[in-house]
Amino acid sequence: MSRPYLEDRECVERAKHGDQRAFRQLVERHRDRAYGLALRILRSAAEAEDVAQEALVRAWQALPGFRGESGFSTWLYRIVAHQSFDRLEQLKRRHQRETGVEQVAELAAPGAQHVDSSALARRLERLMAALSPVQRAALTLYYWEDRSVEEVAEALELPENTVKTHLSRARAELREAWQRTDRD
Amino acid sequence: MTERDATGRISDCAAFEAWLDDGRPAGDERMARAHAAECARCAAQWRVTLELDLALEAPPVTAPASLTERVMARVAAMRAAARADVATIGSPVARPRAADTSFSGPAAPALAWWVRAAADPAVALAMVLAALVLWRAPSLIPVAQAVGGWAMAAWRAAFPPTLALSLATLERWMPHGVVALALALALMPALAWGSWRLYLWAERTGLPSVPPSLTQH
Repeated sequence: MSRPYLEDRECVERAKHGDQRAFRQLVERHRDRAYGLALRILRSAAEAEDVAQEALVRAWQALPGFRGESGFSTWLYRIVAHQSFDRLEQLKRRHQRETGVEQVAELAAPGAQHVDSSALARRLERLMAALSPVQRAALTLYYWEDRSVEEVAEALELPENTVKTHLSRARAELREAWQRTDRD
Repeated sequence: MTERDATGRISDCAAFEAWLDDGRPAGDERMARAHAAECARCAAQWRVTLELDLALEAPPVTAPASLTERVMARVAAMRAAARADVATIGSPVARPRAADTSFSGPAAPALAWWVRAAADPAVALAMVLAALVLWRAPSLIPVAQAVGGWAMAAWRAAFPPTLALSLATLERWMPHGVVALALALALMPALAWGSWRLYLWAERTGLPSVPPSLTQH
């Protein structure tokens, strides 16, 4: 049976009162974004899938506290970003314990293959591993999710100027790395 | 902010690079183009940036199809656990729960506030205590006096004489059980308010935090 399309706001209101079908609509609408952000921060398909799932469950749990001052997607991004940063920290600690190597980015190489099939995108994904997690999150939200600096700042709970700085440095680092790989 | 010379032009490679880093603001594009036409290095940088733009236009990532079902299965499990909790209020036997069902989520607000309040163990305990005070006040007064007396003695032993002296005034009134009871009752709203603040704080700190090392670069 097909379900009527509801706006995010209406879905949220219904889900707040325990309507699971309304929440399912929200999940279906936002799961790709949640997974995409987690994937670009964590650079591992398996970890991203796990974090996206946790974040969506967490969103369900925290819905009563969601006052709707920001959009549902911005609020969800915030949860996903927090969960991803936490997971990254855990992975980093575990990796350091197990191997003594600090480069957590290496953990994720296989997952990056899922991001896109085009050569350019694969090259970019490889270069993004060198960026900081926050830079990756800011780039993902700004470019792939087409969010404004203000929305990125809200999602990552950072001042707008800090987001601008992250974006600016990320662009510069990517450009430099891109040129370097051109030469190699 | 892109640096420019006194005439407002993007005058050198550093200014051009800053313009690229700023995301190539459209207002300065004409000047940047003029600079790139004269500088091979900056022209190459621009070409790289355009390639990056192409890469950044890659189609969005698609989550595994099973993600929705797994999320909804957990949500349904939490709802079921929350319902079972409400059904077993008052049962002396604690029902074991899975780790991820320790928080019922939006199931709770679906119930009337007084049902949720009645289900709260702290409220139930407060009600039992209040009932005890109302029904057994004469029996409780000697107990309150004994506890009060013990607390005073402990206070006097722990604090300097000046404080103990000021407490002596209060102690004169303490033999009156009604005064002791009134003091105990007066403390209840303070305890309730403190508990509420503690609950709000615990709820806030329950959100995962961003490690500072990850927000700095």
